[in-house]
Amino acid sequence: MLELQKINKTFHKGTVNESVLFRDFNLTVEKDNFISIIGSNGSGKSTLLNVICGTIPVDSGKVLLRGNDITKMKDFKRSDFIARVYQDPAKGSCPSFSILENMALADNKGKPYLFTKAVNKSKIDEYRTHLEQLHLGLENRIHDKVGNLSGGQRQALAMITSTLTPNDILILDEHTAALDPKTADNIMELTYDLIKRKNLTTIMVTHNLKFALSYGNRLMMMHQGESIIDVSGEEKERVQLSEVLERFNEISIETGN
Amino acid sequence: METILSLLKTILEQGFIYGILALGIYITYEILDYPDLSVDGTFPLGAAITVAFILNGVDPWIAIIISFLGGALAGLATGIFHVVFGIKDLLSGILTMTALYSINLKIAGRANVPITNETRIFNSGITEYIPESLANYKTLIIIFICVIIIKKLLDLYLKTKSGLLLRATGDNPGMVTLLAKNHGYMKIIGLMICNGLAAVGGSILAQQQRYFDSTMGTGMLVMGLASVIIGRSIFKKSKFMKATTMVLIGSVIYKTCLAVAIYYGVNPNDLKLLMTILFLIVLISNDAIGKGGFKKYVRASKN
Repeated sequence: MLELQKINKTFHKGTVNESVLFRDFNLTVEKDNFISIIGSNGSGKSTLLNVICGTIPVDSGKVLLRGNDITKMKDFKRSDFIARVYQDPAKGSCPSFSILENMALADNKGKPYLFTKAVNKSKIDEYRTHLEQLHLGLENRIHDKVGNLSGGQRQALAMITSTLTPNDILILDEHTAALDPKTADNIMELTYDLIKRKNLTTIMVTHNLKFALSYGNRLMMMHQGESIIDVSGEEKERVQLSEVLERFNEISIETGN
Repeated sequence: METILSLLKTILEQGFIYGILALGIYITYEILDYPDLSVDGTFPLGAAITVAFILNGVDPWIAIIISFLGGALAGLATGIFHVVFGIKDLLSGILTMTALYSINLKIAGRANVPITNETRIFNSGITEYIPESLANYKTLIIIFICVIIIKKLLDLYLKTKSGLLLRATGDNPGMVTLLAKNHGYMKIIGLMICNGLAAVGGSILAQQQRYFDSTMGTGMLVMGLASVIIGRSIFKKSKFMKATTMVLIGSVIYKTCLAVAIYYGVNPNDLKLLMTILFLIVLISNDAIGKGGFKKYVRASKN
């Protein structure tokens, strides 16, 4: 599905702050993989996502999606195949729009935005059904402004809108990190539900080790631009929280974090 | 009574004409959060195009449409400066405005061009159907029809998919990227519509006052902004009124303030000074009340 080949990335090249992050980094993501990525700050998790989404350019190497080279493709063009949910709930919806308008806007992704009516009234019931799955009562507030919703509600809405149209890959960029523990649990369950039902290939970066272990069929730990743990399937099931924590602490001591 | 009525007529005429410009500024400043100074050049551009075409015997309605296209083209230039070349928003507008000063003179031929005896929208076409008893209000009626058509078209556009994406561009540009569209292009489209409307305002004003004047664009952004902010803050609690309606009423209120000041003896030469003071009062009082969504504009300039 997705392949990173020999990715090299150095930040602040040619200055005193020069720091090499990726050196010939490789990653292969198979279809229906649900990868959880953990790692300390500066380990390269976010940069990895940014490289996949085209938010930052690479120095060398290739990004292949379904065998097509997308290394040079602009970020917004890649959105045709990639859905992304950010840590900040405000990033996934338009605050001055109603829930309905946000859903109508997202529903049209992949098609041109021309001069036909934006909100199709006959689709309201369909949108309500999507919202009902959240159990947040949003289906009754479909004309309310999204700016008036809580962070958890907005993140839940972002999960729904980002998966409304078909995508090759779903990118979750610490999408529960800004939420309280209870809401984070709810959003994570909802995420898992959506991924299973729609068979989405997913890459999730998280700081929550519990989520990383209990969700997904592949676990990666990043450290200084390398993946130091990469287990999947049954092997992943056997990994214990204590093992991961121990490894995490080792690294933290090494880097003085 | 007579004087009050004729004053009222002038206020409404002016308020609606400048209201068209304010509708354009509503798109760039409120929807896209882009203070576009190009309107100071595209407003007279519309007037220059109009006198040039009318003097060559072109239908005055066609002249309005050509003005819109000319304004949109200038907006495209500003958009390219900003989006493609990465020049700051204010500076991009200043560049276009400055260039347009010369271009307008080239189009019109000289700094002041009258069209007193030519065919204008106010003395041809549909004006014949206006009954004799309303002859005094002919100009106002035509202006009103123009404004309503433009407002309706804009309302319709903002409800289309393209319009929704334009609003999303100002609200959350990252969202537009997530929807696989380039928010830079949407910004350019918004600038084109804004400057197209500014040029239409200039075109209609030139036909109403029967001349083009190369300096008629000075202070247009300030005036349009004041109209937008007055209209939007007075009616912000209203749930049923459209933003475009608020902007048009704001423009009429603004013109009323100016007209009253002149009526009570303010020297017309001090008009631009008065416009600025009025704008400052609107902006600061809005900030002092502190409830308005326009607070960000004051804070932005303090930074």
